[in-house]
Amino acid sequence: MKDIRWKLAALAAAAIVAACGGGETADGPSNKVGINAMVTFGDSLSDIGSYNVGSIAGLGQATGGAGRFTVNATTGGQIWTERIAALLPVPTTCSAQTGMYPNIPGLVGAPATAKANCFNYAQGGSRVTSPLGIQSYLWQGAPFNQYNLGFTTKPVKDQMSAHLTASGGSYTGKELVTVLAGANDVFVELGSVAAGAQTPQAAVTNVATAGAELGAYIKSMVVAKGAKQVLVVNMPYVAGTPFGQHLDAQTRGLVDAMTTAFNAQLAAQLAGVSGVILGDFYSEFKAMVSDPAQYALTNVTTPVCGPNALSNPADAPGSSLVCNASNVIKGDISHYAFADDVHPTPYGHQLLSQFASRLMAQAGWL
Amino acid sequence: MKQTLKLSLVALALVAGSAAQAQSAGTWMARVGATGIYPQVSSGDLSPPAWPNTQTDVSSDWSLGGGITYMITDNWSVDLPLALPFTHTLTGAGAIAGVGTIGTTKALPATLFAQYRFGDAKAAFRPYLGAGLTYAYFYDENATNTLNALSGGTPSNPTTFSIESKFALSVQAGATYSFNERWFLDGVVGYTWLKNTTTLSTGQTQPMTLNPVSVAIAVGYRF
Repeated sequence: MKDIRWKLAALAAAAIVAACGGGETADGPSNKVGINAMVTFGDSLSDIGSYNVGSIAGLGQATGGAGRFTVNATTGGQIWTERIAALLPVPTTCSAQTGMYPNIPGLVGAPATAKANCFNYAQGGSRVTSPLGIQSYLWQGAPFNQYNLGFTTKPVKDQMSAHLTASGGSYTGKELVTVLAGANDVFVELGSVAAGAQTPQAAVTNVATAGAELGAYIKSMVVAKGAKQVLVVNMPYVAGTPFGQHLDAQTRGLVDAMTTAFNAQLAAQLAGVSGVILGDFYSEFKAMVSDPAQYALTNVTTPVCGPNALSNPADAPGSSLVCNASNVIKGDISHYAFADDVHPTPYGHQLLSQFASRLMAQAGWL
Repeated sequence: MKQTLKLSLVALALVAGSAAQAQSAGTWMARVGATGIYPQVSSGDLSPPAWPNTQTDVSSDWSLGGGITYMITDNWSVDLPLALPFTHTLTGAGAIAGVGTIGTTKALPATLFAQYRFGDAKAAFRPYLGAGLTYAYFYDENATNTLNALSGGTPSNPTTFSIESKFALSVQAGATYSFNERWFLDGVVGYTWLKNTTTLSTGQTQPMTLNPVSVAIAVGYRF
C-alpha cells in the first residue's frame, strides 16, 4: 500500500515536471533520403549570379545587390533553389559559370569562366536546346546586329552536359536536381512571330518540341546517369505575368498555347519516370494570380522594380538583374508577386519554394 | 516497467483474497493503469497564406494513467484522472495530405469529474456515469522541417506553432469490478467536446475540432 502511494506521488510529480518543460521548438534542416548536394538547371528563375560580374557586380556593390533576377540584396538566398538548399540542408551552391559580353556602351562584362565545385548551371535567358537565348551575345553579330547585355544563355542541354563533364559522367544519386526552363523559348518564338518570320502555329510547334526535348534530356542526361531525386517544375503561367497581361488578347492566347503545349510534351516525356517529380507550377501560379489573397499576395500586376541603371529609356522600369531596395517603387512591396515583367519577387520565390517543398514532402524526400 | 507494474498489481489482487467490498461514503480510492486519447479530428482550413483546404490530422496516444476517487456519498463521487503526458503527432491533410509529420505536441488533459455510481456500495460490479470540466493543456509543440519548408520558413527563422490550451466539457461511462475489499479493476470511456485553434508563428490560424475519446483501464486500491 505504501508502494502504491509512492507510485502515485511519483506519477503526479512526473506530470508536473513534464508540464513545466513547455515551449515551442522547431527541428533543424533535414531530408529523408540522404540528399547531400544540389544541382540546378534552367534559366533566370533559378540563376543565382551567372551575370554578377563586371558592371552588374559593380552596380550591385554600389546600390545594394545585383545578379539575381528578383529584388536583390547584398546577401543572397532569395531564389527558390537557395531556400530549398538551406532546408535540406546542402552546401550553398554557386553559379557553375560566370561571365557576360555586353556590347552596350558603358557596360563592362567578363569572360565566361567555369567555376569548380559550383553546381547551379541556370543562366538568365537560357532556352532548352537553342543557344540563341534572350539577350544572348550571339544576337550581337550579323545578321541580327543587336545591342544587348550579352548573356551567355547556355541552353539546358549544354548545362546538363557540362555537369556530366564536371562530375565524371554520372550522378551519385544523393543530389537533388532541379529543372525549370522553357519560358525563353516562348519569348524568342513569340518575337519571331512578331517579326513576321514564322506563323503562330509554327511557334507553338517549336515550343512543344522544346518541351519534349527537355523531357528527353532529363531522362537521358540526368535520370539515366544515376540521379534519384529530380524535381522538374513546368513552365509557369507566362500569360499571367505583367508581360502577358499587357499583350493583346490574341497574342496572349498564343503565349498560353505555347506554354501549355510545352508543358504537355514535358509531362508526356516524364510520365512514370522513376525519381522524377513534375511540379505543375503552371496551375499553381494560375491559382495564385486568380486568388492572390489566399497566398497573401497584395499585388499581382505591378512590377516592384523601378527605373535603374539598365532602364531603356532611363525612366522606364529596369531589369530585375540590378533591382534592389534602392530602386524599387515606393510603398509596402513585401507581398507583391513580380519584380519585373516576368520575374518573381523574393516572396514569389518563397511561394515557389513552398510549392516545391510540398511535392518533395509528398514524395517522401523532405 | 509499465507492464511489470500492472502485472504485479493484478497478482497482488488475486492473492489478497476476498472480503466485504465497499465504495461507501468517505472512501478514498487510487488506481494505476493505462490511458489512451483518441482525437476525433475535424480540421478547419489553415487561414491564408496557405493552399486552399490545408488541414491537419492528429494521432492518438497511450500513456501511463490512473486517478484518485473520493466517495462523497455511497453513490456520488469526485474523480481526478491522472496520466503522464501524451504525445500527439500532427500530420498534413487536405491540400497537404501525404507530406507526413508536420509537428508534435505534448498534451496533459486535467479533468475533475462528478460521478454517480450505480448499485449498492458493497456490490462487486458498479457501473458509473460522470461529467466534468477538462483543462486541455498543450505544450512542447515542436515543428518539423517539413512544416518549416511548407510555410516558407528558413533555418534561421523557423516556423513554430502553438496549440491553444482550453477548458472543455467531458462525460464518461465506466465500471468498477471489485476483486475483494481492497482491490478493484476500473474501466472507463470518456468524451470531451474540445475545439481550439492552432496558431503558426507565421501568423496563420487553424481551427480544429479534436473531440477526443479517452479510454482508460486501471487497477485500483481502496484505502
